[in-house]
Amino acid sequence: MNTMKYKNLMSGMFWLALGVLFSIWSTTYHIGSITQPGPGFLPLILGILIVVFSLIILGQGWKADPAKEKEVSFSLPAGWKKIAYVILVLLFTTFSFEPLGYLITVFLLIALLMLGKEWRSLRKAVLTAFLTALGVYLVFILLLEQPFPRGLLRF
Amino acid sequence: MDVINNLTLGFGVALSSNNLLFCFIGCLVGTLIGVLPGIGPVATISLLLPATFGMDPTASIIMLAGVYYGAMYGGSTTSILVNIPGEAASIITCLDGYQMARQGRAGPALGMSAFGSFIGGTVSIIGLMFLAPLLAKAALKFGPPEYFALMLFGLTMVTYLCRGSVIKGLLMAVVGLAIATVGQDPISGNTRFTLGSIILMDGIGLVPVAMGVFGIGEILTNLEENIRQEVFSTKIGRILPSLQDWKICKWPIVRGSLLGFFLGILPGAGTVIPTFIAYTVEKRLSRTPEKFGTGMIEGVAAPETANNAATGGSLVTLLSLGIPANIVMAVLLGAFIIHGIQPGPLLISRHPALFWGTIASMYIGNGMLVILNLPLIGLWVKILKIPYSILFPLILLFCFLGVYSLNNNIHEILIMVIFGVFGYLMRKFGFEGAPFLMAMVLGPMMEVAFRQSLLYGDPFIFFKRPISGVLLGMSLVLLITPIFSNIARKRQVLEKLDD
Repeated sequence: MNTMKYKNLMSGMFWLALGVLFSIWSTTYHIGSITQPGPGFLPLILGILIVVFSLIILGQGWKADPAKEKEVSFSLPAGWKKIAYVILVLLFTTFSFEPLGYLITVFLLIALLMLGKEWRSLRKAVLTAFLTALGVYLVFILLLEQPFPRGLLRF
Repeated sequence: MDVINNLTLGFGVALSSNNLLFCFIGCLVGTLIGVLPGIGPVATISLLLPATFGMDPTASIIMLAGVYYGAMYGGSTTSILVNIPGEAASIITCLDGYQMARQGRAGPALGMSAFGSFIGGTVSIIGLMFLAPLLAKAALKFGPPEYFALMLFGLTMVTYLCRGSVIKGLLMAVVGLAIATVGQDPISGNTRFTLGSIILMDGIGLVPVAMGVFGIGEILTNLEENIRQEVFSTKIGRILPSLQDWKICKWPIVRGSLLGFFLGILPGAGTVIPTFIAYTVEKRLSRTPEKFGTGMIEGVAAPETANNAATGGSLVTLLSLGIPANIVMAVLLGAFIIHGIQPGPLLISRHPALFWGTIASMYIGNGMLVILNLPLIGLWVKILKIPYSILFPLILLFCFLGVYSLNNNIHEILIMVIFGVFGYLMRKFGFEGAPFLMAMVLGPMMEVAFRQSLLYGDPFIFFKRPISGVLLGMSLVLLITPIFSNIARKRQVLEKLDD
């Protein structure tokens, strides 16, 4: 998966599918004519261009010989677990922001991210997260008066 | 004497205590994110945008411009002391800057890059001051076909100059344009591709996307690479360059200023390409080119001057034509529009206080930056020592809260996270973010210009009008050359095989 061949094949297929979908979708809007273009006119051209370019990329991937490239491995990138974890934390905090409120969410975001790896000890993570939440309260709520969701806590 | 009157007006605006404060904040934040690797001016300006909603437009633009040129000052510090570029525009500074630090000459390297930046920055403001009004006058004659051609040319340049495959760059530009069509059609008012969602009626916001692709995407990439920041020397020593240093750097700074400014005007060149060209030029002209990379002070002075000179250059097309020359300018264009100001040929005559105030603030800001960067260098070194494991959760938190405060809507945080993952994958698969974001900003304007041009009743109008014809011709040449150079390369290989 790390060779350019597979990268081009995979991304080419992704964009091809998206290009086809986008083109078909644009035909549901009024296309018009070349001198009277409607709302679907430009999207249709763009969809077709996406299809054309992704076909070229697919072609390049097809022709490339992975044996000639330096790295021939089929593994996921080394840090993928870490990255997946960070993305999950971000998604979790996005959806917990309104029900739990900003204070708990900020605390969780920082603590979970810092604990994610052997980055920091539990005590340091909790302390940093607590101080950050306090800082957010002072700056964003008291100073800038931002209407962040309060959630479970009342302040 | 118009210039003197205008500058008096500008300094009157810029020297008001409020604007002076925001200029300082901009420069300070700019230096900070310049010093910190992993967060750049695109993400920062997007992040600060919501904070400017309640502010006067002039103060906002003064502050956001300060972030941009301030980042160019800060970037060199990290390059010289840590051998990691704080900013993409300081990559080349690592070569000789870090070597100078290893030889105990970190002080003069930092000093020369600050003075070079100041001179380059000032020269480019003077250029901007004279060139922008002239260009704006010429642009008054532009109609929709010319605007469309100009934007297409800019987009082509960005694609052509980005790293990696041109086809992938083109694909990214087209995808950016496609994303820009989500929401209300600017001409008929019909909604497109919204899936019935109210959030998407307004289109996919620039700020969440920019912060996703350039903020979150960058952080995810860095996490994988495990950045290790080791400050080489904490003792910096004497910062002022010696007379001998000045003698060596005199002409590199002059050349860097001119190169940076004129390349900066060119759409797509940004601040990175001028630094590479300035470095190469100095290496070519040097009597001892083999010594470049071993700690030559001109190898620090020339690129650091050029990246600051490019900031003024890139503002020329934004302020006179309303067309961004690079992605930072594209985000700044977004800031203008949010504040209800349409940048374009009429900007200077309709909002003279904003235009001249911004110019005057840039003179003041460059002065502030020398002070921020030289006597306070110790502070920046301390910040460099903050470990990435603390820094990256904080950067993510700022992105999170910043995007939410745009419209108090968690869907926009979700859009940011999705585009963050998208930006990360883009990097992994060899796609560039610059053409994508540039196309997304230009998209709505390009579509209006395109469709208005077609309404003239002649599909060939773009080629029949001289200015748009020339611009489209140039774009076409740019797109075709890589194909030919590819064929030429293959032919060479075949010939070699024949031998």
